[in-house]
Amino acid sequence: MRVLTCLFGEHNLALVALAAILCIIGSFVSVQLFLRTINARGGSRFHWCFLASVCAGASIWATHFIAMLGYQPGVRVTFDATLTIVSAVIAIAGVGTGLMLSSLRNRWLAALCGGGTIGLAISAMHYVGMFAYRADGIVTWLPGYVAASLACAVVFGAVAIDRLRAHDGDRHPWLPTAFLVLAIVMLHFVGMAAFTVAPIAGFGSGPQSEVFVAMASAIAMAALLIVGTGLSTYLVEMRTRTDAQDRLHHIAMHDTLTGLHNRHSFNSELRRKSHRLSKGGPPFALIMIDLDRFKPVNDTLGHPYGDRVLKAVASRLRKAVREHDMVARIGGDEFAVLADGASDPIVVGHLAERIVEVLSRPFVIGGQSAEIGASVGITLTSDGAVDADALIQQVDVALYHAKEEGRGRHSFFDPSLTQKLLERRRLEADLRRACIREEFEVFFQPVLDTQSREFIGAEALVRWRSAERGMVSPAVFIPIAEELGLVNTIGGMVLDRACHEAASWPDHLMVAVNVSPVQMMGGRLATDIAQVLHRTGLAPHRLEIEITETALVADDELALRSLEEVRALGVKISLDDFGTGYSSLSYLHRFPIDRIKIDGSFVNKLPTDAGSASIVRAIAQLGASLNMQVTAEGIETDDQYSFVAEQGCGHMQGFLFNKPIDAKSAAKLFASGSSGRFAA
Amino acid sequence: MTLQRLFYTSRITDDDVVRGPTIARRIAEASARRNAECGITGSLAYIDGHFIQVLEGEMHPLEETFERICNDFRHREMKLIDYQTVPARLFPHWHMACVIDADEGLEGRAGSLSEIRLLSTLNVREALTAMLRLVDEADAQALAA
Repeated sequence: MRVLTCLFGEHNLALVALAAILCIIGSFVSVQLFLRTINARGGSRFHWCFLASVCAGASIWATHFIAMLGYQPGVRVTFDATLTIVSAVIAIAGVGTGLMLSSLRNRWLAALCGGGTIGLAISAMHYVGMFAYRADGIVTWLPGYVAASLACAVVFGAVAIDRLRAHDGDRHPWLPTAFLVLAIVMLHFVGMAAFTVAPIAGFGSGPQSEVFVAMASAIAMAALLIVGTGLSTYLVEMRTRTDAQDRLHHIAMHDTLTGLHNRHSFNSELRRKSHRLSKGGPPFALIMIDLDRFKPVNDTLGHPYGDRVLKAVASRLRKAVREHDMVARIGGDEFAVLADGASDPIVVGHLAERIVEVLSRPFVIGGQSAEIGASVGITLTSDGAVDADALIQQVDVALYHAKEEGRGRHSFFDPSLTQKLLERRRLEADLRRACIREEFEVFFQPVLDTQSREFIGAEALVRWRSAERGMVSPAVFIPIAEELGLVNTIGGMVLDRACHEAASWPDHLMVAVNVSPVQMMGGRLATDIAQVLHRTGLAPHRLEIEITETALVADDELALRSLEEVRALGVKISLDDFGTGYSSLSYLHRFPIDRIKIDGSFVNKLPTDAGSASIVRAIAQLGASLNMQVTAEGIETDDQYSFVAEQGCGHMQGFLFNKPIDAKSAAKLFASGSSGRFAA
Repeated sequence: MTLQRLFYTSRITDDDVVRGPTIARRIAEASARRNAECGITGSLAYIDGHFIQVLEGEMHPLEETFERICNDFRHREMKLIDYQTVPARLFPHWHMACVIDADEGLEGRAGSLSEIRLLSTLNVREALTAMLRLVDEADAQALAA
C-alpha cells in the first residue's frame, strides 16, 4: 500500500511513464542480447556480453534516474555527480558479471548466480544512486522495504535468467522480458517506499520541475540511443544469420544442378501432404518421371553434356506443369511432380501428356542434339491410398508399366498392374534361365532377287522356345534382354549359329544377322565377328549385319568407328527398318552402308496407300542413286511384289515367298537350289 | 562464330488444325520480329497441318530460339531433321520467310509443297533446295502483284 501511495502521491507521473517506457524497451532489447550472449560461443560471447551489459545497464540506470527525477518529496533536491556515475558503472559491470555467470552449465546455478547477480547489481545501482540523491530534508529508511526490494530484484532476476535458459524457438522471449521489467520496477518502487524525506522548515523551495524534465528527457534520449545501438547490432547480426540459414536451407532442399527440389525435400512434402490428406486435406496426384535413353546421352556425349540436358529437362518440366505444382529431381534421371488438388484423371492425364510430349522433343545444346524421352507413372490419392510409402510403391508400379508398354507414355496406377509386374519378373527370371540353358533357336527367312526370283541368302531370326512358355516372340523378349544386359549373350549366340549354318550353304548365298545397338556400342563387335568368321570358316563377304537407325542416333562417332571396323573385315552392313525412325540422308552419306531395307509397315500398305507408295518409291530411287542395294521386307501379296519390282527394289523377302524356317529346312531348301515359290 | 542450321518438322495440334494457316502466319510474323533482334534467319512452311521450319544463325541464339519452340504446345510430333554447322545462310534476306499452303497463288504449287514434306524425311538437302525455290517464287509473285 505504501508502494502505491509513494508511486501516485510523491511522483511526477509523466516522468514515471517515461521511465516505464524506457524500462520496457530496454528490457525488451536487453533480453534478446542476453539470449544471444548465453548462446554465443568462444570470443564472441565477450563481445555480446559487453553489448548486452552496456545496453541493459544503461537502460536500468536511466529508468532509475528518470524515476528519481520524477520523485517529488516536496523539498529541494541535488545529485552527487561522482556517486551517480559510479551507480551507472555498477549497473553495467554487475549485469556483465551476472551474464557471464548465466552461461554456467548447470541451469539452476546459472539462474541463481547469474540472475541473482543481476538482481543485486540493480539493487546496488539503486542504493548507490540513492546516496547520490541529496534532499534538503530529514531522510528516513524503512529496513523492511529495503529487504523486500532486494528480495524482489534477486528473485525476479533469477527467474528471468532461468526462463531465458529454458527458452527455445523463434518467438521473442516475452516471459524473461516481463521478469526483468518486474525486477527493475519492483526494486525501484519498493526501494522508494523505503525512503522518506521530511521537509525541514525554512529550507524547502520545492522541486525544480522544468530542469528535471529536461534532464530526464536528455537521459532518456541517451539511454534509448544506447539501446537502439544494441538493437540494431542484434538485428544486423540476426539478418546475416538468417540469410546464411536460408541459404543453407535452400541448399539442403534443392538440387544443385537443376535448382529443382531434391529427394529429401520431395519426401517431406509428400509426407506432409499425405498427413494432411489423412486429416481430410485436399487430394493430390503423384507423378513420377523417368527419362528414356538418357544413359546413352551421358555415355556418349559425356557427363557435362548430360548435365546440360538435365538442366533443360528441368526447365521444360517447370514450364509444362501448373504454377503451384512441385517439381523435384529425385535421382540421376528421375523426376517427380506433386500436383496439388488434382483428383480428376483427365486433368492429370493431360498434365502427364504435356510432360511426355515436351521431353520427347529434341534437345539442341552446344551444337549437338540429344533425343531422349520420358515415361511417366501416376497415382491419384483419390484412389484411397494415403500413406506416402504406399503411394510411392504405386507410382513405381505405374511407371514400370509405362516403360513396359514401350516408354514415351504415361500410365495410371491400377491394382491389376501389380499382377502384371509379378508376371514380368517371372519372365525376366525365365529369360535369364533361357540364356544359361541356351533355349534359343535360329530361324532363317530367305531373301530373293526381285527379277530372277533366285535366293540370294537369308535373314537370321532368333526364336525363344521356352520350356515353360512355348515360343516367345523376339518383340517380347529382346527389349527385356537389352534391359537386363543379356542381349550380347543372345546376339553372340545367334551370330555364331547363323554363320555356322551359312557356311554349309552354297557359296553364293549370304546370311544377314541383326545386331542390337548395345552390341554395336560395346566396342567388341568387330573382334567378335572376326572370331566367329574364323571359327565357322564363313567368307566375310557372305555375312551382312543389320543395324537400326537408333544405333546411329545415340553416338555417331562411336557407331562410325564400330561400323568401319566391321566393314574392314569385308562384312557388309545393312540399315534395317528404314523410313520408320530418324531417317535422314546424312546417315547414308556418313556411314558405310551397303543396303537399305524398307520397313514392312510401308510395304504392307502397298499399293493402295499413296503415302507409303511414295516413300517406297523414294527409298528405291535413293538406293539406286547412292549405289546401295534395296530390300523390301514383309511382302505378302502379288500386288506388293509387282509394285516393289516395278520400283526397282533389288531384293525382297516376305511370307509371299517363304516363312521363316528352321536351320535344317533352310539347308535343305538352299541345297535343292529351288527358287522362291509364290503363295499357293 | 560458327553458323548453324537447324531443320525440323512438326504437326499442329488437332484443336488448332482449323485455324492452322492463321496460326502459322502469326507464328512466322512473331518469330521474324524476334529473329531480327538476334540475327536469326530462316523459313517456315505450313503444309497440310505440318510445320517445316529452317532456322539459321549463331549457335547460342539459335539454340535458345529452338528451346523456346520446344516449349510451345501449339504443335506436336516434333522431329529434328538436321542440325549442323554450315558455311553460309540459305535465307540471308528472311528473318522468317513464310509459305502457307492455303495462300493465294500457291494452288499450282501444292505438289511442290507436299514434296517438301516428303523430302524432309528422306533427303534434307533436296528438301532445303525445294523450300528455297518455293520461297523465291512466292516472293517474285508477291513483287509482281
